[in-house]
Amino acid sequence: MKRAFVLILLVVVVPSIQPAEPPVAALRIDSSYATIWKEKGIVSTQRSSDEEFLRRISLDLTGRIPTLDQSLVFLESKDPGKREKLIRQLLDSAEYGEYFAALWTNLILGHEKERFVDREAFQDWFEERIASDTGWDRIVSLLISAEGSFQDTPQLNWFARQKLNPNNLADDTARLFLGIQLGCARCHNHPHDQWKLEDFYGLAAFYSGMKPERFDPIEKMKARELKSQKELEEFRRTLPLKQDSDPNVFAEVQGGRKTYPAKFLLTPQPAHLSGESKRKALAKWVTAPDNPFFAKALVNRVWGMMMGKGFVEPVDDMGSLSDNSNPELLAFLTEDFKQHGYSLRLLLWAIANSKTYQLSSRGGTEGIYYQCGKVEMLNADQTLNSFLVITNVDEKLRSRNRGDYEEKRDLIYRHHVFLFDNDDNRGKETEFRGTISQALFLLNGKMTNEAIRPLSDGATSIVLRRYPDTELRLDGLFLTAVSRRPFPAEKKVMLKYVEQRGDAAAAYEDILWALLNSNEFLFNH
Amino acid sequence: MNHRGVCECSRRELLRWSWRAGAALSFSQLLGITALFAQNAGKAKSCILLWMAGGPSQIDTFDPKPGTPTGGEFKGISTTVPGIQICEHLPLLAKEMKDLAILRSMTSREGNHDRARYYVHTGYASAGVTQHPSFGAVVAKELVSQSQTLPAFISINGPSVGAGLLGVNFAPFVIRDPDKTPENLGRSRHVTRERFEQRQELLEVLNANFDATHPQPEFHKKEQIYQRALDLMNSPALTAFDVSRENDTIRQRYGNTKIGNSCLMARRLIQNGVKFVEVEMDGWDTHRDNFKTTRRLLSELDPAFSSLIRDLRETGLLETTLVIWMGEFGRTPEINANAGRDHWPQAWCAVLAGGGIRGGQVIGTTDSKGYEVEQQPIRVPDLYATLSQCLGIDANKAHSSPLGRPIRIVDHGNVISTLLI
Repeated sequence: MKRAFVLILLVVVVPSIQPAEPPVAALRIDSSYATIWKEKGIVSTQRSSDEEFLRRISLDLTGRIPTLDQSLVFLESKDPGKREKLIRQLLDSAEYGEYFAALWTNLILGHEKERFVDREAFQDWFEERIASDTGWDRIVSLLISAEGSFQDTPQLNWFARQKLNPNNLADDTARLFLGIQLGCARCHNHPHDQWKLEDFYGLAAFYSGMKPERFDPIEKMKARELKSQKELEEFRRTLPLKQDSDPNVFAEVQGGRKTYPAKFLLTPQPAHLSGESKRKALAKWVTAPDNPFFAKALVNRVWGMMMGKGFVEPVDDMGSLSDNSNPELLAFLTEDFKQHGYSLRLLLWAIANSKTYQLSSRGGTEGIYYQCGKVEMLNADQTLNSFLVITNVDEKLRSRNRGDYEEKRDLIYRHHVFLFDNDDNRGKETEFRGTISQALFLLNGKMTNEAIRPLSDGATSIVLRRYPDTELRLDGLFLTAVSRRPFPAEKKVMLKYVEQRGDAAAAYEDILWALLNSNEFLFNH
Repeated sequence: MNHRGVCECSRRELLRWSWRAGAALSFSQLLGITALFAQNAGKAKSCILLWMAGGPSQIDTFDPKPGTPTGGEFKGISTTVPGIQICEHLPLLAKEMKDLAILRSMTSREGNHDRARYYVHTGYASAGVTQHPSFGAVVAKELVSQSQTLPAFISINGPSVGAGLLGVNFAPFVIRDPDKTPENLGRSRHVTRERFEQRQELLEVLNANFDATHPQPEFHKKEQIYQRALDLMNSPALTAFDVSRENDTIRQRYGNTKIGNSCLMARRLIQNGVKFVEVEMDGWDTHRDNFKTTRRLLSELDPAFSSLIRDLRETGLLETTLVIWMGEFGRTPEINANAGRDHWPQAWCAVLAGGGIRGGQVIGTTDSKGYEVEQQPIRVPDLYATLSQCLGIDANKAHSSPLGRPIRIVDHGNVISTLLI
C-alpha cells in the first residue's frame, strides 16, 4: 500500500529536470579537470563505451545491472542524446529511490537487523523522501527533530538503534551529516584536530534527556504479570518520546564528572535555546545555509559514491587535517547544491552527465584527479539486486505481490548480508573486500545456482527460449550478465564449448556460471 | 623492537639483574638469556574459545555457593584437586580439574549483551567508529599458520565478532552447523569434478580477456581470494570438518550433541593447523527457569568440554593448545521471581586450560554469596595480556585504526603470572 503511495507521489511531485543541455555543474566539473590534467601532464582515458556506461550508471543510480531488454534498447539506439535520457530515466525509476534509501539506511542503522529497530519502516520513509526529491536539508531536519513514538514516526528508528544515547547520536550526527569525526573528543581533546570535549558533549547535549513517556518497565511487568519480553518491547515502541529541556549533558570523562551545555560547533559560548526544543534548534543549525559542514559533507559523499572516492577521504572525516584533492570544485558543487534546494537528484544528474564521470576504466590507473573510470567491487545491495535481475525474480515477484517480494528479498538479504558486510560500515574502499566465504558462496552457493538454472524463468531459460541460434544465445547471455556482446576471441571459445556439448542447456549454464564469477561481473568499472 | 612476548620492561629488568650480579655477561650470553625467557612465552600455538552466549551463571558452574541464600538448587562436588569444588552437574569436568585453572574474579561493567559480547571478545568497549578486532582475528594475524589451506580463524555456530580494523582477511570463517559439511565448500551436487574444472577454464578465459585491458590491482586481489577458495575446496584438510569420520565411541564420549560435535570438530581443526577456533554454545541467558535450563546445558557441556581436554591431552596437543571457556558476563546471585538469574558483570568466571596455563588452581575469590570480587579482580585486558603471553603475541603491538590512531592488541592489561607454567 505504501508502494502505491510512492507511485502517486512520483507522478505528482517530481520536479522535471529540464532536458538536453548538459548541466552547468557538469561543464564545470569537466573544465576543472581538463585544466588540472593539462597542468600536471596527466592523460585521461577515453570516453567509456556505451556498454561500460550503461552498466556503470545502472549500478550507480539504481544499484543493479540493466536487464537484457534495457541493454538491447540502449545499445541499439542511435539517438545522440541517449546517455542523458538514460540518466533521467534511471533517476525517475522506483529502483533509484529504493537503492538510495537502502544505502542511507545502511549508513544510519547499520547492516544488522536489531530487535528494537524497524528497518523496513525507516527505509520506506527514506524512499518516499528520495523518490519525491525532498531536499537533503529537509530530510535531515526531519531526522534530527523527529517527534512521536518509535511506532508512528519511522525516523525515530535511528534513535532506537542508538538506544536514545546522546553520545552515540552526537557521533552519528557529526559523522553522517557533517563529515566530522568527533569520536576522539569523547574522552579527551582531539590530539591533532580542533575538537575539544566541550564540542563533543556540547553536541550530545542537544540529544540528552530523551525517554519514552511513562516508561517504567518493572511496574509494567508487575502490572501485566507475565508479559513476555517481546510484548514489552512492542509496548515500548508505542510510547511517545519526550525530551526534557535541560540544556546540559552530564559526562564522565578523564576520571572526573562534568556538565556540558548544549553548544554549536565553532561557537565558543553555549547555544541560546529561546524556548524551542533542543533538537529543533540543532536541526536548524545543521541545515542552515551558512553551516560550513552540512552541504559540503553530502556533496563530497555523493561525489565519492559516483566517482569512486571523495574529494576528501574518508568522507566522514573531513577535518582540517584531511587533504582535499579539488577544493574549488567541491566549493562550487556545494554552492550549486544549495542553490538548487539541496536536491540529491540534481546533484547526481549533474555528476552523471559530466565527461569526467563517463571516462572509461580501460587501460588506465586511478588517481585523485579522476583521469580514469573508477573500479570498485559491487556492494552487498548491488550484488544481490544484480543476481535477482539475472534470476528474474525481480520482475516476476514485483509485478505479482509487493509484500511477498519484499519478504523474499529481505530473507535473502538477511541471510547473506553478513558475508558481504564491511566490518567498518563506512562505505567505500578501493581494495577488494572479499573473503574466502564470499568466494565460496559465489562459486557454489544457492544464489548462483538459482540464477543459472536453465529450468527456471531466469536468464538461461529466457535466452534459450528467445533465440534459436547459438550465436544469438551467447550474445543474450553476455548481454544479460555483463551488458555487452562477447568479443571475437571469447565467442570462439564459447561456441566451441557449446558445440562440443551438442548445444545442451547445461553448456549455457556453465557459461553463465563463469560470467557471474568473473571480475567483470563482480566489479563496477 | 620488542622481542616476541617479552615486554620492554622485563628485558631491561633482566639486564639490570645481570649487572647487579656482577657477572660480565657476553653479548651472546645475554642473547641466550633473553632467548630462554622468550621460550617460556609462546608455548601455545593455537587456541580454542568455548563461548557461552547469554552469560553463564558463575554460581551454577564454577563458583558454587551451596547453603547460602543465593546458592540455588545446585550443590558443589569435589574435584580431583583437593579444596576445589565445582557445580555438581559437571562431574566429568571435575575429573579434569588438574588441567583447569578457574578464574573466579573476572569483573567488568558491561551488562548489555551486545556491548558485553564486543567487550569480552575484543578487550575494548565499543565506542564510535573504530571496530576493534576479535581476539581470534588477532591470533589469526599474529601467529604463522601451519595449514596451507584452512582459514586461520574458524567460528563454529556463531558469527563471533569480526576482524574490525585488521581487515576482512582475518574475519572468521563461519560454520553454521557442525553436523553438516560447511556451506558451499563442496561443488553443487549436480556438478561433477570434470564439469567444475571446465567451468573454471571458462572463467579463466573471461578473466584473462578482461584483465588484459584492466590492469587495476583489485582484480588481481580478487583472483587471489578465489584461488584460496578453490584450494580450500580441493584441500585434503577439508576432512577436518567432517566429524562423522571419528568413530562412534569418541562421538558418544563427546555426547553427540551440537556442542559435543562442535568441540570434536574444534579438536580436528586444531590438529590440522587452524590457529583459532571459536565454538559458540547458546542458551545461557536464563532470566527464567535458570536451574532447569542450566541443568540441561551442563549435561551437554560436561561431556563435551571434558572430552576435549582429555582428547587434547591424549593426543599430546594440550601443551600447545590454549583452551578458554567464558561468556559475556555472569548472572545475579539473587534469584528473581521467575526462578531465573539476570545479568551480572561484577563477578563472573572464566576457565583456562593448556597452552602454558598452570592447571589445578583457582585464581581470585568472590564473597560468600557471590556478589562481589573479594580477591584479585581480573579485568578482560588482564586476561588477554596473559593469553597473549601464552601465545607469544606482543600485547603492546599497535595497529592503525581508520582514524589513524594506534590501537594496541591489549588495552593495558597485567599478566597474571600465577596462571603461567
